[in-house]
Amino acid sequence: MTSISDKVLDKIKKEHIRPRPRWQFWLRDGGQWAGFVMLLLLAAFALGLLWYFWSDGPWLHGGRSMGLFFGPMPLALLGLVALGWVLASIDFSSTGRGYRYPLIKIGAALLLLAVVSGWALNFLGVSQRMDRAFSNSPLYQDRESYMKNVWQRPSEGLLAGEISSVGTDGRFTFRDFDGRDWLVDGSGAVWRHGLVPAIGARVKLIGTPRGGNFTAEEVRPWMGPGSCGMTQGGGSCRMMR
Amino acid sequence: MITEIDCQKHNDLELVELVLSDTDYYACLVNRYIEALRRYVLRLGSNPTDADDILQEVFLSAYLHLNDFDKKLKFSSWIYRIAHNQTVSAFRKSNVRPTVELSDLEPWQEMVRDSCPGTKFDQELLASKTKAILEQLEPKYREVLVLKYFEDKDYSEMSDILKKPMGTIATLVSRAKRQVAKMAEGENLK
Repeated sequence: MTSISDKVLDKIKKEHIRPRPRWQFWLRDGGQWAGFVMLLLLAAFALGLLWYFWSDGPWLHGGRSMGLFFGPMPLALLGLVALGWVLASIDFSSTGRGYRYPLIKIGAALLLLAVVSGWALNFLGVSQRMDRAFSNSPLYQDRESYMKNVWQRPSEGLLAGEISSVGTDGRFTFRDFDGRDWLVDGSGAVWRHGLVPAIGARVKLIGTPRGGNFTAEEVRPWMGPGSCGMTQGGGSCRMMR
Repeated sequence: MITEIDCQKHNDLELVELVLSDTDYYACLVNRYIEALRRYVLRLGSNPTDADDILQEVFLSAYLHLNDFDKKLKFSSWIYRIAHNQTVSAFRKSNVRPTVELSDLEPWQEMVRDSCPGTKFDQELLASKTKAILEQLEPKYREVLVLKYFEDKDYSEMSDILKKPMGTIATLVSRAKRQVAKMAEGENLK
C-alpha cells in the first residue's frame, strides 16, 4: 500500500470520518431543482400576464397607441421574465448533469417553455385571474394609470370610461375617465367577451370620434373578460367600483 | 483485511457500494487510482511535494462525498474531476504558476506534431523547445491537452471531468492546438 493511501485510511479511521449522508445531497439537489422550477414559473407567469396585457391592447387596430406597447408595466413584467429566465438557465446548467448542455441551448429551450406556458396560462384564464388578484396590490398601482394612458386617447379612436345611460338601437351615453361625456353609437360595434350594455359598466371603446359623438367599432370590458358589465344589470360593476 | 485479490474481484461501482458498508474497501479504490491521479496532478503543473498533499485531499474529499457520486458517470471521471478541482484550487491558494514537468516529454512532442500536421520538425529543437511552449500555454488549454494526449480520455469523459459541454471541449482542444501551432512557429521549430 502506498504511503498516501495509508495516510488517508488512517485519518479516516482515527477521526471516525464517515461519508456525508445521502439526504444532505438530496436536500441540496432538491433545493436547486425547486429554485429552478420557481424561477421558471416566475418567467411563465410574468409572460402570461404580459401576453394578457398585450392581447387586450388596441395595437392591432391600425397600430393605435403603439408607443405605449412597452410602457412601464410591460417593461417591469419583461424584467421579471428576463430575471426568471436567466436565473433558471444558470440554475439548470449547475444541476447534476446540466453542464452537458450549452447554456445557449438551455436558455433557448427554457425561453420556449416559458413562452408556451405563458400562452397556456393566458389561454386558460389564469393570467386574467392573476391580474384581478393583483389589482389591489401596491405593486400594481401603475396598472390602472398605464391602462388609462393606453386607452384614453379620443383623437386615436380610443376611449375608456363608464356607460352612464343606455338608449335604444345600441346607443348609449358614456363618461370617459377625463370626465367628458360622449354620445356613443354602438349599433355596429362588436361587444367582446359576451359584454352587454349596462349602466355603470366600465368599458374600453375602439372607434371614430365625431365632435361629441363616437361611433364604436368594438367594445371591451375595462379589465378584461369577466369583469364589470358582463351581465345585464351590471351587478358585478358595483362590486368593481 | 482486504487483499489485492479481493479488490480485483470488483469493479469501481461495486467497490463504491462496498466502501459505504466497510471503509477498508476504500484502499482498493485509492490504490487503483493513486498513480494515475498523481501523474495527472503533476501534468497539470503541480510540483511533487504539493501533489502528495493534493492527492490526500482528493481521496478524503471523494470519501466524504461518496454518496454524491452519480452512478451514471464513470467513477474515474468523477475522481478525476475532484483531482482537477483540488489542483486548480491549490494553484489559486498558493498563487503559484503551474510548473512544467518534462519527465514524459514524448506525448507532449506528439501533441506539438499533431497540432502542426504536415510539418517536419527538427527533433532536437523540438525536444529543447517543448518546455517553453508548454510554459506559455494557458492552463485551460493545457488541461484539455493533458486529458486528451496523456490520459486518453474521450470528449464525453473530458466533458464530465471539466463539467463543460462536449462542444466546448472540442472547441478548447481545437483552440489549444492552434495556440501550440502558433507557438511552434514562434519558436522556429519547423
